[in-house]
Amino acid sequence: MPVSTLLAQTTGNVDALEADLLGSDLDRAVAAATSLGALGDPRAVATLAGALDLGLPPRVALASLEGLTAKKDPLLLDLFRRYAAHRRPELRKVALDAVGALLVPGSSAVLIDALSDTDVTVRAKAGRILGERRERAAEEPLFRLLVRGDEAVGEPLGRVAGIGTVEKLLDLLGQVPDRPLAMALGGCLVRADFGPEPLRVDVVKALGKLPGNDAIVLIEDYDKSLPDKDDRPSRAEARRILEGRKGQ
Amino acid sequence: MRCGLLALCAACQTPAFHAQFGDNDAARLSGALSRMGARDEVPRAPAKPTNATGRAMLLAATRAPQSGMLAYDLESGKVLWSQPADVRSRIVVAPTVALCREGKDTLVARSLRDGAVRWRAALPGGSRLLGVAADAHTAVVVTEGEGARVEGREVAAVTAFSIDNGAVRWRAPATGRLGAPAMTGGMVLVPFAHQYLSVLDAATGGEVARVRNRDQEVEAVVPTAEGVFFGSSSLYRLDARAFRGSATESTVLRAALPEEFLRVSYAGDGYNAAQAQYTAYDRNRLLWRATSDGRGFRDGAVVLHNYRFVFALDASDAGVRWAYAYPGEDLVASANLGAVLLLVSARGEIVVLDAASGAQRWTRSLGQPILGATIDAEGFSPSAGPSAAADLHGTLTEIIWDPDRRFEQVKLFAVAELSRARDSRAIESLLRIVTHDNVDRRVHERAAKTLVERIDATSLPILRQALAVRTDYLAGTKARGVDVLARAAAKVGAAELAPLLVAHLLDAETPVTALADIATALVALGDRSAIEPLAQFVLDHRADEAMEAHPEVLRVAIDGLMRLGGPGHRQLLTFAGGDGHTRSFLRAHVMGKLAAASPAAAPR
Repeated sequence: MPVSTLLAQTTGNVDALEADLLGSDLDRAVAAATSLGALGDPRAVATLAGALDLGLPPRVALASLEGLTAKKDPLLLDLFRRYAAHRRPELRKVALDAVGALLVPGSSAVLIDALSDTDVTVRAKAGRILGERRERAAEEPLFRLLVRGDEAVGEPLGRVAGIGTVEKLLDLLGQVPDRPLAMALGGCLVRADFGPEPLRVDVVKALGKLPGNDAIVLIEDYDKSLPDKDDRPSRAEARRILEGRKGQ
Repeated sequence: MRCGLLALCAACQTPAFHAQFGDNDAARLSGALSRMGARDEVPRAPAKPTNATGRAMLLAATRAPQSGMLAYDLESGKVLWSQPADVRSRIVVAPTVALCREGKDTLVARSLRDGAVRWRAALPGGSRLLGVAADAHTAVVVTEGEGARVEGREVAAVTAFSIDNGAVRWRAPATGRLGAPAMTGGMVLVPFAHQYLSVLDAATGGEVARVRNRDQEVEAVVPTAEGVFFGSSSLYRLDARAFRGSATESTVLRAALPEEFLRVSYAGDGYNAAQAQYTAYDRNRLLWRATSDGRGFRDGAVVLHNYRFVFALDASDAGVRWAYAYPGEDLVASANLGAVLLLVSARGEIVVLDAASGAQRWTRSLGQPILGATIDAEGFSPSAGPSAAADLHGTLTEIIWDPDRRFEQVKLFAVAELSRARDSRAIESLLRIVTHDNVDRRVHERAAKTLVERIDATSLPILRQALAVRTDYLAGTKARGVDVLARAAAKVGAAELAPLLVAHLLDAETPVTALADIATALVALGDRSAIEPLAQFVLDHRADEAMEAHPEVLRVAIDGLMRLGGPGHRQLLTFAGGDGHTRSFLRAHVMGKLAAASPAAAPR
């Protein structure tokens, strides 16, 4: 790497980094984008945002978006929304990460829109972020994606599913792939806000019916998540299932 | 002088098919026509069934497991008889017998009364059968030898058998090729050496006249109640003018045909031995009747039978008058009986359509599947039950969506006809084709072209509806045919469609191949709401190497910005033209456009 670049990156020389960012050497441009993203200088944010607004080669755009993600600047939502609809799925995913870091009105809508993306990895990314945000508005689209077979939405659905959705999930035993179903049900169990208790019992029983190790691990996780003295019926059911499996 | 089984010309002792026999001799032709019982010098086949009962009949070769022959009385709707038989040629009906080749080398005559074998006659060994014909007294076959043809050696022969007992009556060899024969008026009509129609006396085999056609090959000859017609790509009538041998001086029939069916035959190829049997020819042919003066087609129409489909076409411009689609299996036999068309399907169903309207008049069933059938039903016209003519648009649409992949030509034809039919549903049907994902590629292309040609502002609501469909994995919807819809939008010219096009332009799901059409349409519509989206599109993709494979997309967008945008957009383009991240092909395009618009504005 040229000395001038190293120097710019080390000293945080925004002007020099901007020149590299906009230059024809893509490797230097990517490095410059990364360095600008690491800087605390607001001019660095403006440089990256301005360059993205005028368009960059995909590799450089990717690095620039990554650099801006950490800034969590709500003023960049429109820019991130634009890249969340880009033709290249890798840019859409990075843009979703950037949107996900912004807890501002309008950001969830961008993520929920991305659940309609035809690229499964983009949907998975959006689902994961929505699950982490516990975005209840995503409950219905995540459920529909699970029914359609999206493996990655099980865990995020587990974080947001309400009673109605869980009852529908219980009816889907054997009709949808086991793993995402197990992840969804297991995710509900470990939530303090999930209930009532009879429904928890049903969820534990349903997990017990699923073949394979995933469901057992989730039941174990549930058991471990409860305080020692908690003797609720769903725990009893969980322990009964675990005992039964040990005997096999 | 040779005698015995050799056929001799009564007038001049010249054997039949001899090179020295004069053709296009008006006197000889007139004599032949007279001997054929011609009225006004036009020989005609009787306007009634050939079989002696005079009842409309059908003789069919049945398929396994019951391979054989059956006779069906169309008037009573009953099977008269069914006999096991190894039918290897089409069945020919004479007044008292049905004839065909059975097995490899045997001509068999079966009684029309009960199907019992009357006689068997050996066909010349090692030869190809080209055709069989018969009348009340004589059955003739044309056979052709296998192997290399040597000049001066026999190539083919007509052999005549007694219809009563199968005894050979005469034999006429030829050193040129012979085609499938026909018989009428006591004469045998034989295509000869591709150029001639020879007329032989059925009693002696002597050649009594020969017509040479100067315009085209003589491939087949067909006696009808309106006259005897011969030819290949046109029909020449055998009458007093026939000796002139040219289209301008003879009585000729020729229909305008759709380009998809230009090679369909009026009467088959008599030189093709395969057509001596029931073949694909029986499923793809023209059905026609002439007017009584032989100068035109009856009702100005010809009928195209194409496997499962039947189209009545205006003979002057090939426009479709009506269409019929038989469900499921091919129609393996068909006949134009004048007032009606009679069709027989592979599963043995008989359908009668009104020739004028295409309405289904009558159906019956033979009760078993068949390979092919000979229809002896001249004049048959069962009375119609209440049945409306098929909706042309509905039938054309049904054909286009038929899952059978064999019928691409028919589907192309149906698409073209959709546009000709002045039916308001045509645009909707074409839109459905171009936005469907499981349509033959050529059918899609034809529908797209036709849609853009035909669409106008009256179709704006359904076009808007089609453009509003977006690809959404969750909703399970997919935008298809957006390139075609964009071209249609440009044709309609409605600026209100611009926002819908913009949505597709900026949609990641829009195929890259559609983007140029969308950008072009936006520019054509000239709506200012498209300017900023075009600018964003250029900025988003100017530096993307993936766009090198589709250079027209960004070029169109840039041209659009030049046309619709203001000074600010020129500045943007100036920046893009000079920026190192812009792909080089685009920089060159931008610089060229800017220089052309204003030399001072172009970046150096």
